[in-house]
Amino acid sequence: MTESFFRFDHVSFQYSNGTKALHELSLSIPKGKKVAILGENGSGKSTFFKLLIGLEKPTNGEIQFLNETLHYSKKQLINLRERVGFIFQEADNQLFASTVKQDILYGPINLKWPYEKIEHNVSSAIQLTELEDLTERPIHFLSGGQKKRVTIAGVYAMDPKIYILDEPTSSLDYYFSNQLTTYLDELDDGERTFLYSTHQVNLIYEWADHFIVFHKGQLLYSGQRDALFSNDALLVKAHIEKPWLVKCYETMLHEGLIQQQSLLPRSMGELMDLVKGRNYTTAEAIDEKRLRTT
Amino acid sequence: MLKIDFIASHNAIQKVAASQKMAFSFITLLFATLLRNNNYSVWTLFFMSGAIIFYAKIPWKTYIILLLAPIGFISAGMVAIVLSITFTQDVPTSVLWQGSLFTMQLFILPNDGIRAITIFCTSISATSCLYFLILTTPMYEISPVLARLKVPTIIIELIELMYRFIFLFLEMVAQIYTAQHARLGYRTYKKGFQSLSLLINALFRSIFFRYQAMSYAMAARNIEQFIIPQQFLIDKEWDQKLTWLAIIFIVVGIAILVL
Repeated sequence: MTESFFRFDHVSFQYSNGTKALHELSLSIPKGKKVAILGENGSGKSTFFKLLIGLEKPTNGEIQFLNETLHYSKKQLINLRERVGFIFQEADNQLFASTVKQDILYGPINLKWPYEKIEHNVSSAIQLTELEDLTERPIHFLSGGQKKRVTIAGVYAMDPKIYILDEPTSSLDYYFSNQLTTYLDELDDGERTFLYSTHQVNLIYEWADHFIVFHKGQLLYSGQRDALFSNDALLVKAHIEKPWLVKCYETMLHEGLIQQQSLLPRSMGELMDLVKGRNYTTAEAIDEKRLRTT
Repeated sequence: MLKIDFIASHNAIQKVAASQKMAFSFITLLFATLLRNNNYSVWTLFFMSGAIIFYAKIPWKTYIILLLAPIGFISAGMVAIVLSITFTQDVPTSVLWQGSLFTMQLFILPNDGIRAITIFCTSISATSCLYFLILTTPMYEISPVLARLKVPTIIIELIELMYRFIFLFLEMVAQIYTAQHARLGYRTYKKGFQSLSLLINALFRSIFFRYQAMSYAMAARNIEQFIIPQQFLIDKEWDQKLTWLAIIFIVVGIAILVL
């Protein structure tokens, strides 16, 4: 059994106005995974995140963090939130400082780190998100995308073990949307876990290695890429777009241009390999890839 | 409002320490309000306006418009001071002006006239002193100085949050207003007022949503403290030129008072 950061045990959540947001949810978030959270609007993704970081308590069931049941004491919550970084969907709600640098400073200062560590983390966060020219700029003179980058830097500077990104690319342009997964890959040390909710499947199809699908407050799917994206009925039900790569692969397969594989291609490169007659699922190909990555 | 804030962080003396600018404008403000001397007030107004336009290099058009804005308030207040009203017929003989409205007798006494002129001069010069600070120093530089002056943390945090929210709401008002305009919400006066009431309604609703969302965001980052310790801020130095300006100002001010 792999170690897990979070474990949900029959968790239900109902808002005070009666809306049932989550129903009988049981799942675990393993360590060191890049998890994509998918599902239609209002499927419970945001509520799920609020539960993860202890902003809401489940109406029924229990949540474990690092094998410890959450009982919502102040000390436990602080401990939890030190390790979990949350990048909210609306950047404006997350930013309350006057300037870019000050907002990035808030988190680390509240962690009560020594001065040098704070300065170091803040400046590397600024560098990572390419905000060097804007550090002294007041927040209200920033564009939507710049604000988003400040929120990412603010969370990154706190050096969390788990990153929650709630539709992070909704106000980012093409360059920064792609850049985001590159940032995240730089942070990936095998221990860190990323939870990334989005409707833009193409952005995370290659990046994510675990997929969770919500539908009307219930867990519809949790597992590997292949079983999800080859299940057309499930994709339609959960309003998930089929990635163009998978569409290409299936069309080419249907036209007889390529041969059936045991796994879906992960990247354009792999698909091209197939077109050229090479096979990426053979033992040699996988060994070669392992060599390249290590 | 947005413009003032932009100017505050983009002007010629932006690199001067906030503490010096605050000291300068508060001392001049204090003298102008306490002395209530017309000559001295006029000197303060001209000196401060000069400092704002030539030293801080604030566009003069913007400054004049900003200075004219409070004149409306001052004039309204002055009417109440200047005019005396009586319902009987006995009006003092020394009046400067006299008129009647229905059964009322309106008149202006010389003393009240002088008092009004003094108040006018004092307020307008005090305004120029405050503009010197507001137009050259952004809010976030003022709060650490307040913290050093031992102002309670909760008050500084409230000031900072209010400041941030003002801009959020201005932005929201602009967005809603544009959305209403796009669907012809202000086509006629009647429609305009209806749209305005809807706008205010929407704004109030969003205050509560924003509040909730921001509490979440603060909890998620364990935020307990708002004030950034001084060591993280860029150190700004006192400017010798401003010190000299202050000395000149005080010397000439004393000369005006003595002569």
